[in-house]
Amino acid sequence: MTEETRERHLVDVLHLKKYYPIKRGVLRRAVGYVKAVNDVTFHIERGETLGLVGESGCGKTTIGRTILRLLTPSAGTVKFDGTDVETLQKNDNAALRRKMQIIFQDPYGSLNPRMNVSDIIGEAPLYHKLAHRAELDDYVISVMEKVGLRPESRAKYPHEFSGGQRQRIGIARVLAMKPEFVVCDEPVSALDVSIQSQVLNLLADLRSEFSLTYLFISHDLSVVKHISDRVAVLYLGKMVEIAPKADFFAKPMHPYSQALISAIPVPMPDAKQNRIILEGDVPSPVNPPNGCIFSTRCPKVMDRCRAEEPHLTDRGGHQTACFLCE
Amino acid sequence: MEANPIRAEAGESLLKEAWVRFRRNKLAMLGLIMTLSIIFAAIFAGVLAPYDPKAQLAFTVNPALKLAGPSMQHPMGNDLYGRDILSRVLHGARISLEIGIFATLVTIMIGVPLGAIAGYMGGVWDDLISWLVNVIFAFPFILFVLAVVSVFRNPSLYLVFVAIGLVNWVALCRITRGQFISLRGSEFVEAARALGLPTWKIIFRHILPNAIAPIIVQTTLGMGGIITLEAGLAYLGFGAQPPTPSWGLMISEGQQYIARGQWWWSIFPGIAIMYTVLAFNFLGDGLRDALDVRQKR
Repeated sequence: MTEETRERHLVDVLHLKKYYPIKRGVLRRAVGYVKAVNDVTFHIERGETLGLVGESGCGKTTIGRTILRLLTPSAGTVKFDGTDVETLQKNDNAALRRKMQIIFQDPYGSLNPRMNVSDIIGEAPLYHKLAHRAELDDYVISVMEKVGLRPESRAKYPHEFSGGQRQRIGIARVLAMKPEFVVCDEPVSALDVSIQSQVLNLLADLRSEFSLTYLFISHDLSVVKHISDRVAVLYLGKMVEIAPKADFFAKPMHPYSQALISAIPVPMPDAKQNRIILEGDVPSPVNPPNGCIFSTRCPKVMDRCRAEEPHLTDRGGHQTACFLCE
Repeated sequence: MEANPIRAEAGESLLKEAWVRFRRNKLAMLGLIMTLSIIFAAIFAGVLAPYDPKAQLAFTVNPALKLAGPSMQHPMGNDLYGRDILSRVLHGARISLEIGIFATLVTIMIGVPLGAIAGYMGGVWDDLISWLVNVIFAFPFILFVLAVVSVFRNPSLYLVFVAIGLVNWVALCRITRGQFISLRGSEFVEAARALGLPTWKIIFRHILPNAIAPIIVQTTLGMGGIITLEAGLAYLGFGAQPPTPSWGLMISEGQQYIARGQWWWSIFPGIAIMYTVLAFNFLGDGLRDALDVRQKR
């Protein structure tokens, strides 16, 4: 890795794998593995938002959690600012560790119901000495104001808030850690459409105000289109395409991306839509197809696809794993 | 700290809401009042009891008091030695509560930490602790307590509640384990880990407060069981020894006189046991309904 790319890249994910053993029988021996994330390599640049899309079960969430080490990867490395996250964890480097944070999908499940907002937001900054006890109240208030919460409600409990407000609490909790990199794991999927855009705009505002870097995980392409700089498409635990946003939506190269984009609803009743309908279901991640993982459903499948696996190759910043693009 | 210029509006914690729900539940409030009355009787037994519970009035005051039936002076009658049964029942509350509370403490001290370790750590720890729980569950409960008590030559009350605690922790351990397993995977615990909080904080601030409701319910419901168990032990001659005014002991001493028509020696302590067990069951059921978070939302 050159000095220049090291400067540009905030997060580097190299050959990341996460396999879950399937245990059977009395001896609980592993009879197979669910390949949730199967050899994924990508990077996130400083200050950018990388949108990670894919259907449910393709490993998006697993990637997010593995980057933060909430899950231990089976293989591969994750580098944050040039340092292996594993060594950060081992050396208990709290200062660096707190720079990577996560916003969860479920605004109900991700807040401790027994703690009030002040404690939820203030607990970690106090522990990491980002704020002293005497000034903690002011600290919490300032963070709440940043995310558009009424500071008067800081003694209230999560169940007294609406879904959108709870998501703001989750964002405030992250913001209070003064992070550099935030994994947004479907942060608006559980919210009403009317609230979604508010939260998305808040995330965009915070990004510019605090020069944050996002990994934005979503199954909703229109949301990703709204907030991302680059888009990465995941299918069955493998990256099939990574491209700058404009490039991606203008000319998607992988047949799977093409099908995804054709499925975005167009808000015009008589607009002609050439939807590509994919046949069949996503194959099981226990037993992914030989060759190209998309070969079982690809409308443009060739003999070669079933025998050989295409690798992610770069053509001027637009990476695709498909023989058609060679 | 100086008063902050921005006023904080009071929040309704889940505990506060649970209390509101509890108060609306008539049976639960009845259970609470009954429980408080027992605690009151136990604390003030010395003042409330008209006579010394060990004073053998048939020998010291009046031989006619031997097995005398209920009267104005002795509302629950007297036993073979002329002891005032009302005084003995009141003092018995003390013994029963003492055993109930201390046996429960032993139960909690063993059951909760082991359940927490099994649930949070998983793996070998979970296998080991779950195996131990299953082994103890497989034993007949009362036989196990008897075995523990009879290992020592003079069974004291301390031994009884340690023995009860030693077998009683398994149910609590299972409940705690289940709670920890489900909470360990919850998103707010994951969030706490992402925030870089230490394990002890995650366990004590994030998991335990959310696991405490079923633990409290189980403990309260278990009190009734422990009190019956103590009475059973005393009845069998283990546990409290004469002349201690223990309810189980009184039932055992008086049982042969029931058929002869002198029922008061056994029946009144029996009613006391029933009253106590009912009180804790009502209270426990009420707590379960009030603390059930699933009713929310």
